[in-house]
Amino acid sequence: MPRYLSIFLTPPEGLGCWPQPQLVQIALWHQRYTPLAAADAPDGLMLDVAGAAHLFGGEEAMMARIERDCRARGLSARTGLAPTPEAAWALARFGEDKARRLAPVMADDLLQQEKCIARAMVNLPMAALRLDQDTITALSQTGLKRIGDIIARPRAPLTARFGKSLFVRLDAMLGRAKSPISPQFEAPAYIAERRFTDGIVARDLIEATIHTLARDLAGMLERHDEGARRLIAALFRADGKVMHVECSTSRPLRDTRAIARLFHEKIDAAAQANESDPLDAGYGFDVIRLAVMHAEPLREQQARLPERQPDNGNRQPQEDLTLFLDRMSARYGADRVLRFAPNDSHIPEHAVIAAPAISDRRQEKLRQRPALLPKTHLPAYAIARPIRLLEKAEPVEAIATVPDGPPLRFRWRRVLHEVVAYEGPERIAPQWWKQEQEALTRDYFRIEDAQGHRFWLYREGLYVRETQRPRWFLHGLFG
Amino acid sequence: MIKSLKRPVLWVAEDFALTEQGAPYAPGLAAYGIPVSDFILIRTRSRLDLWRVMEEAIKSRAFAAIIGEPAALAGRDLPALIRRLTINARANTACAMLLRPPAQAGFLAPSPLRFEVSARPADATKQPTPSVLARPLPAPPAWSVRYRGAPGALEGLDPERPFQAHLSRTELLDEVSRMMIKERSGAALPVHISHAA
Repeated sequence: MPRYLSIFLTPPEGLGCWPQPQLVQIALWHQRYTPLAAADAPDGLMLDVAGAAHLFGGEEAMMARIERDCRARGLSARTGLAPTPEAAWALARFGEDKARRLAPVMADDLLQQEKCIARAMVNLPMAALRLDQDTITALSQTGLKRIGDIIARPRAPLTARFGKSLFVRLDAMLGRAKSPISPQFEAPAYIAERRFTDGIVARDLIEATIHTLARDLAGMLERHDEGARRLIAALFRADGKVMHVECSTSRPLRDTRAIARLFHEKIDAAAQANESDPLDAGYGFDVIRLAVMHAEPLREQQARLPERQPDNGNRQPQEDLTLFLDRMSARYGADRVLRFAPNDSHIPEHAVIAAPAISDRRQEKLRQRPALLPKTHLPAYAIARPIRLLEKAEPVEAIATVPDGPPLRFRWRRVLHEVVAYEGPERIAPQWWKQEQEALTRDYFRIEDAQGHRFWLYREGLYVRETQRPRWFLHGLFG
Repeated sequence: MIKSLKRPVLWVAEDFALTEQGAPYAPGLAAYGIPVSDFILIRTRSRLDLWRVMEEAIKSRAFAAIIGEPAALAGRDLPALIRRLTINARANTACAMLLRPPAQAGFLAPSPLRFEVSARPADATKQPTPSVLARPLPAPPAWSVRYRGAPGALEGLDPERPFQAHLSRTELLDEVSRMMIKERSGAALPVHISHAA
């Protein structure tokens, strides 16, 4: 049975409506009541509270609490609760104080629900249908001032005169047509939370709570044979600020210790930046919620016999690796823990892509493709590739006997190198199909200097055909 | 050794070190028997992060080799940090190497094994020359590996008498691996790289 709670927030003085960023912040704070909270511009919020009200002692108690909490934060709020968002919106703004909640009806009895809503809406003004001012004025001039005036009237003449929106709104209000809300934030797959009478500040206690919540989630995940791939811990501060700590994993996970350790790494990394208060706890967190945002199938595995090494328990190298990658990604960021995959490009710097090690879906896909770089042997062109590639090719001063010939000597980082042997050119043309207008052809040379250092140099631009002054760059080092 | 362990290779490097020396390039590394799929790179913002990642990687026992590349190796705490890595590497039978910038090659470190690796010039007379006027083709990359000694590191090797071996690219890793296997319990190796810097 759907239940929607609309919150009308009196706009700040001097403003006719709430600025959107502020409304989003308030919606974020209201996630403590339900994860499905949406900003309902210009002056309110819409919460999907189905299945959440009992946590606050029932719907009436929940509405009273939200209004009380808003008042405590200096917001003037009025709530309305109904089976449809439109009806809840109307009740929050135009309902009488004692009748701003429509009691739920028996499940699936849509006709009964419609009658119930219609009874509650019949005396509300036309503005409760969220119509524009011109339509309301036009309806008023014809004597149609309340919603009850149009419910039983023939639709065709009114639609012809006032447009379709009139009955679209009415149908949405009565539940004849669906009117879903768009939650501001992604809905989690699984959720577990703890509430505290007094806010908690101690980091140990926060981490212990996350561990406990992970245990709750593990039970849910186990029932569905699933494991978590992305988790978010939301920490609701007593003064309304919300902190989010997000962790991703490289494989479906429901090991509570591993999950707790991931969050420990993340919080520990934050502690490096701010030792005294890494989570900015302020007056303390009164709600801590752990949510699985993305889950994937995970079958229970047969327990393994211990390996030879006593310290290693019964874990396998692959398991050690994924745990390590997950932890490092949580601590330093997924963009710093990288794996490589071959890419369909002949441009050296694009021939390999570095992807986050934990986002293995793309990696697997790339690995399953006929690889450009097979594991066991090398393609012919890879033999002449350096072991290190400069992140950005560095310009060098080179002297060549002829403009399109190999270099005789070159200066890189203020050191002069005498070329004793060379191989090339290997001509690499720009990707003309990508319309890279400014890109020039490169002629690569494998160079050996008098000290035995091997370099990978290229000359950019074909002499006369592309440029009058080709430039030289050092791109890689062989050894 | 790397191939036989069937585990990935981890390269941990500070951002500045990668900017200065270049990032490991997978197609080139594949020539040394390290497949693209078995290579992991972790970029760290600071040296402290690098030590921490290396230590965690050693403890995880998930890698065939762990290569650390700080932007600079200096500081009073350096011997203690290297000693700590060494103890962990011994306890976990891990192969860990530290690459040191050429400018700091002279600094002594309390590591069980120390090598100095430098580029080896090819014998130009043995290289094929495309024409009479042209210069010869470059030889495949080769290195000189010099054992710099360390107290009680290797049986049968006198730390007072450094040896020098000329190795081709395919022999380099195997030679270092053989020495480490000889040492049996694994070790943290500061390897001094010198190239045109």
